[in-house]
Amino acid sequence: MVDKYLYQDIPDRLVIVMIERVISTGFILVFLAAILMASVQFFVPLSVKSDFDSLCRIALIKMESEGKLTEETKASLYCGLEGRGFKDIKINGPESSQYGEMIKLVVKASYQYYSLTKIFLGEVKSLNLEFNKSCISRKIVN
Amino acid sequence: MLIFACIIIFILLPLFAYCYEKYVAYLKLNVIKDAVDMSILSSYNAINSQVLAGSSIDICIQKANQNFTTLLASNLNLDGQLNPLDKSIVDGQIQIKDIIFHPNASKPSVQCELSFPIKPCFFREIIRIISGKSSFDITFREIVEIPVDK
Repeated sequence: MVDKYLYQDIPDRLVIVMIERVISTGFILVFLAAILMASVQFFVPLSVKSDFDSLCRIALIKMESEGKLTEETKASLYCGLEGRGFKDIKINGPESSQYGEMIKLVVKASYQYYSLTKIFLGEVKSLNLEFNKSCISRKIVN
Repeated sequence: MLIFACIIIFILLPLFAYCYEKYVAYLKLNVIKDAVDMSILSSYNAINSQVLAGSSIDICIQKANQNFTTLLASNLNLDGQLNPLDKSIVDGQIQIKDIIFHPNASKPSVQCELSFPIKPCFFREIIRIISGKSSFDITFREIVEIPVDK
């Protein structure tokens, strides 16, 4: 009963304008959210590559001092990458090396993430990553 | 709607581009610093083992320089003149401004200063017209301790 007395003096035109405003504001907010989401997703591949590189670099430093890619280092790198959501992980490194020899660590993996392709549509994309760096063995083999 | 369009074009897009450029530059700098670290560590290989048992260490500077350049080129996908090859993260030639070996310091170390150009990812033409440059030079100095296990 109270509502009926409150709203009876509001003209129909004003009600229509208010409904229009609510719809347009809602549309703008959704559009802005989509733009923000799309812009944040631009950073995902960069961030993933950075994580991937830092994990591989730790293994490369261990490999440099140990002179080879040990099973322990390999397993640790594999677990680290798998824990961050990487798939199809392939790790290659030398099994032995001489002091002063150049050794190479090659790691390949893929990462799947959700990305907006059109303004309100998205799909799962796959990002293929590769780490291919060298160092000089520091391990003295007697 | 006009205000909304203006906010997107004049505030959100430039802000996003600025953040993205900064982040890309930061990541590139990190990758290059990592490569420089690994290359400097290779100077360990240039230590003269004949005098390693003494109180000071002796480094063959020429060999250390050669190791450094070879490893840097290999890790950043560069040619012999440190120009980028295909799929290199670097946008132009890396310039080694200064490389100093400190073999007789209390902690033997190598000090290195490099500069590399970086090209903007977005609004390249607008930035080129405004600043008159197509790329910007980033210079950094790195000091890395040489691992010495006597």
